Amino acid sequence: MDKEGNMTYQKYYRILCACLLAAILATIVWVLHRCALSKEEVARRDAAATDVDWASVVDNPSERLTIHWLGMPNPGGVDGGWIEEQLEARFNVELCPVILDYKGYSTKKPLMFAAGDVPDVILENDPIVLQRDAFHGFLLDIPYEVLREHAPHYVRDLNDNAPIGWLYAYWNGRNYGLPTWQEGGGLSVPGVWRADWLQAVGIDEVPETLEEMHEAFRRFTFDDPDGNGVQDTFGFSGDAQSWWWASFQDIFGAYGVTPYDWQVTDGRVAWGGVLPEAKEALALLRQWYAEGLLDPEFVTDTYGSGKSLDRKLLNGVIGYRAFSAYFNYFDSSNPAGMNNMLQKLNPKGRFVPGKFPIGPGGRRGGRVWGKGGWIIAFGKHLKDQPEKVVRVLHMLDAMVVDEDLFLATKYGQRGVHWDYRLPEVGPSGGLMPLPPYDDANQAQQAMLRFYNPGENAKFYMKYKTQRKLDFMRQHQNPKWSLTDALGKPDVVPSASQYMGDLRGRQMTVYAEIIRGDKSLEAFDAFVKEWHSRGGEVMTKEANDMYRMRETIYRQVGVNPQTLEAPNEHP
Amino acid sequence: MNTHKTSRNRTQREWLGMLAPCFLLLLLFNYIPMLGNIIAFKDFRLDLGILASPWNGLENFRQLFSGADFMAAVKNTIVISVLRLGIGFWAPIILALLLNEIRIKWFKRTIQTVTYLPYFFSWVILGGIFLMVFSLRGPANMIVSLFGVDPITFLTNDRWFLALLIGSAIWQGVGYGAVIYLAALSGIPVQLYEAAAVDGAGHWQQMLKITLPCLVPTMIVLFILSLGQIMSAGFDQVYNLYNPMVYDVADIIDTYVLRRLQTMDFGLATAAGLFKSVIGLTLVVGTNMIVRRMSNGERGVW
Repeated sequence: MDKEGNMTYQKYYRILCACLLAAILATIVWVLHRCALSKEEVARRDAAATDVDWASVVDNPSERLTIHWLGMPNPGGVDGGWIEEQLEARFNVELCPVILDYKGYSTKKPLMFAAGDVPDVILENDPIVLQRDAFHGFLLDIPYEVLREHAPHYVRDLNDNAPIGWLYAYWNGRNYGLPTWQEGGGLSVPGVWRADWLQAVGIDEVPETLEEMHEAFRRFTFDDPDGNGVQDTFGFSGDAQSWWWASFQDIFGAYGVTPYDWQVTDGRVAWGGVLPEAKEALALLRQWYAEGLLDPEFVTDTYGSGKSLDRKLLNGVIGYRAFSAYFNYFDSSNPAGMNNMLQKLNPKGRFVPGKFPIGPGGRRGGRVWGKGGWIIAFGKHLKDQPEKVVRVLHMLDAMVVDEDLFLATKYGQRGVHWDYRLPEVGPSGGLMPLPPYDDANQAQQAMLRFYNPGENAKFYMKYKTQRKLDFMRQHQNPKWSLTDALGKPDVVPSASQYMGDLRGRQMTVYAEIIRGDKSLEAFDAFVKEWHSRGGEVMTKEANDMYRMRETIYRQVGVNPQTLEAPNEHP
Repeated sequence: MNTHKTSRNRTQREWLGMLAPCFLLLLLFNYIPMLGNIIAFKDFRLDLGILASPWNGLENFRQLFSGADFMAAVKNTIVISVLRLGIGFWAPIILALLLNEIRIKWFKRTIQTVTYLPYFFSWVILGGIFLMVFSLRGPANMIVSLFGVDPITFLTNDRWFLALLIGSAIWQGVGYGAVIYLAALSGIPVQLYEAAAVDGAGHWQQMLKITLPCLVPTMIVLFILSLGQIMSAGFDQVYNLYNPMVYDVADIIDTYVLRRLQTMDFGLATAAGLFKSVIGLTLVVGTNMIVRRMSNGERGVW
């Protein structure tokens, strides 16, 4: 009896527990359901939240404003310092720099934002990031008229130099910031050759066509250019993974393609990597690989200072590298210049700037980022303090117009951070950083460039040395620059969903084709795959954006005559 | 009698009291965050937060499973894990058995330390070393060339890369795994061996009939626990070694999730993570159930 009673008791207890649990679960589900907004509600809030009556915004210069500013990547930066003092005194602001290193923009920044820590000024490095931040509701949209009113000189200079940047700041029908630009970004960057190797194998002129290049690579590989009696050299190598935009860009350029960018062909925008010309370039690379001219380690080699391609070039494993002819390499006064470093290792060694090889159709060139830069965006919470936006726009405008402020925010204080290289010549002799600020870490600590990612074409030229200008004029002709039809490939809205995976897939297939793991016909299969895995959606969006470009340009006041010629594909 | 009971209650209370902070931590950092898994069913927006973001049904999962990338990542993860478990599971057992046979103390200790050491190196460092050692002109190919074989592209050939991945994972983990088995070995009563020796069992037979059976419970526990990790193919290792040529075999769920997180697609990333966890949990619970059935409830993790 006792036992039986115990059993019933246990049974009831279990049922009771189950009921309780079910009730708790039901409550949780109900609460969760009540808390979630409907999609319509979210859309309604989005539309309402950004209504700032800009016309009535008054910025009172005598009111001191505190501004949290996420500027250029600056791992060693510190709050305070001369530049900050200058800006604070002149614009009556209290600046609180938010300092991140380059990697922090993709790792730390999203976490900061998620925790509600959104700065007032946010420098966004890529359109894809701006779009995601805008989607997640962190950014304030700013009409073009507001920018034109409060930063007129900045907007005018941008319109004249790099209007494509406006696409980077655009998302879902609104403008989310003020793009920056870089004057040097439009210059083409040819490859460099080992001049002593060319001489050793009996070639007097820097190769100028694909055939001449082929011959030079052949001799570099088989004619023992370093004279050590061992066949241990290659014509060239590449970077099949990280610097997708630099790898073999001269060879693709000879066929008129930029394989990881949008290109205009027959009046429509198409992905360069799926055009028939890309296949032709791959066929050539594949043939050169089979002949043994291309270092098989091109798959794992990497660009970047001190990385494997630097080492291979300096140690005489390869005799040519694309996308390398920068003035710094040949600057005899720079001990870290590649030429000087080579001569330390090998007194006979010498680099010369190359020329873009001319392809079968007479085309030549190489891919560059173009003049479009980053985007200066504003935190959405500023909708309640729009005067901060106005104040910052005034600051940015002054940095473009006022030469002293430009110099101060870019390079710091004359006599402390920098001085003229040749005081008697002045600006055209060039600037040089003064110790200890010639050290990158010290320069970061001094917050050089942090607040001023902008550019001014006039000042840019004015403070370059004559030798550098000559070098750029002679070797870095913008005529050979191939740029993305939309500036950056990931400006299309679906890029965050498809671009990364498709780009990785393209690198794999390209490398496999070049190495001969797959037949050349694998390219056609890739084209189909690319379209079906999101490429089609992106291509449509790219065409829409390309058409919309004109509308945006009109709204923002770009003079149609100054429009850059896009990367036309004949 | 009565006093005995209260004192026991008191000790129990004290123990529970000591447990409470740990339990609290577990609750706070392991269980409450689990509620965040509802992001997998939402069109998550950071500014709205987890609760207020609108529901999305199974849209995230639909996107995951309709994309070729995720399915390929799942396949690669399983292939790498199964190979690693199938081969790597036995390595620490063999090492422990071998170590157990060594009688010279300093030699045994040296071997143990040397095999144990790699466990403490981060894959960021090991990755750099491996890329160098197995490059075309690296030491590995120098040795290979002594036998007149052409240089092998270890890092960019699908099969060699898999072999390298699994081999290096075993190399790194074998010493650590052996420690657990060595502990189990030291727990085997000496009397068993003495009795076997009296019965005339040789060295080999002692190992087969005594040592191995005594290790089985440990093996089962470790096997079940490692099944839970089958959807994790070792992110640190893969991420530091892979390159475009081997994406086809080396893109795993974790690298996929990382890419989604970098583009702030938290819904997709959470859905992928949840999928991974559910499979892992099912495997652990399922295997444990099978083991318990087969051993009449005597073996298993719980």
